[in-house]
Amino acid sequence: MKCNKIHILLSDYLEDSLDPGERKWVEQHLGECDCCRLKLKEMKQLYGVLAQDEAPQREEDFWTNFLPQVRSRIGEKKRLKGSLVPKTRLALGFLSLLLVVIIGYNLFHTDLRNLTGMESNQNVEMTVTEPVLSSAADQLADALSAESTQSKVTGVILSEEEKEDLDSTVTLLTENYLSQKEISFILDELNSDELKQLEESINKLKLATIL
Amino acid sequence: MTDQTDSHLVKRFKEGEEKAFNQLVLRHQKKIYDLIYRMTRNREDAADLSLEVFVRAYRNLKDFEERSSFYVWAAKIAVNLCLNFLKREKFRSFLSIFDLAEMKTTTPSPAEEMEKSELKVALDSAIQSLPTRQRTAFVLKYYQDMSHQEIAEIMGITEGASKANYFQAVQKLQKLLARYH
Repeated sequence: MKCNKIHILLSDYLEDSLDPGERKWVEQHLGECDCCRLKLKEMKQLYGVLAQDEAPQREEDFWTNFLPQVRSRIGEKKRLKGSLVPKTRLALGFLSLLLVVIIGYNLFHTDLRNLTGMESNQNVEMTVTEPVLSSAADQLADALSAESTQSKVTGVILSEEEKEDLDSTVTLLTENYLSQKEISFILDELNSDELKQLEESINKLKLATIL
Repeated sequence: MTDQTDSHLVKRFKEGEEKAFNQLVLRHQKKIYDLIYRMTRNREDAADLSLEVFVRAYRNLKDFEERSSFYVWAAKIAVNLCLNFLKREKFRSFLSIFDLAEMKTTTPSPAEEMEKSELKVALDSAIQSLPTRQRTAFVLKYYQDMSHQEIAEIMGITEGASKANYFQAVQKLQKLLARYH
């Protein structure tokens, strides 16, 4: 452990850059440790080899032109920095435009896809809901006929069964309307008398619910 | 004007005197070039990178807080540039395994090679084989004669770590150059 610490100090020892306390400690150790003396010898040998490692000399022109070249590079970078501002703005503008186009395309594309999708879905919904709606219409018709035979026009007395039928019919129609919004297709097919009949029936139902 | 310290020149530059920077360049260009040459072991790379050191120093000199000397600060820029350069070179040489046509050679020209002695080639090879931390500590200590405190400042490590890196570098070089002792 002590030898490792000495080894690290050997280069400073050779350069005579240790403080007096450290120097004394190293010298004392070297006097009694063969291993560290060998290390010191090897280090001196290495420094002898390294002393032959001279950096290749540059020609005088290189040093004469050095400062002008530094100045030229500084100037170039300044010009580049200056010219980058409008270029950056241009690039940012272009990127913004590109972004708008991409977002716009995606929105338009999505809407178009949704619209075309809706058209095809409508057909499916119509076919799917047709039996439900026809059954609802049947129930309504039954309820209306029952009402016409069993209740007075001005009266709002309906039997419990009729009320339940009407309730369920209207609920069914409302649900279909709210969930699928396809009731308008059915209503379009009703003639004015049928519509009037339906309206009256709904009014009666409202009154019945209030009462 | 030549008697002025670096600190004076830095102050004058910060006050807007452009010429003060020229003095700093002229004063330190050779030492910075030498530092970079020792790190890269290539003349052309050293020439290019040493110019770049002063360009960066010029750009950042106004923010230089003078917690160290101007030279230590400039040497720190040089070391960082060298380390980035060496990383790029390492990556390039890695890529060149796959594409020999793209290989950028950092080895000297045949004429330069002939000028080199066998020892010089061995020294180049030995120093280039050192890990970058050890190489940096060794170059700054041995060739630039910096203190471990300055090396620690430049490398962002402790003085103890600087001494250890230097010693490890010396040990490796001893082994690699044993036959030239």
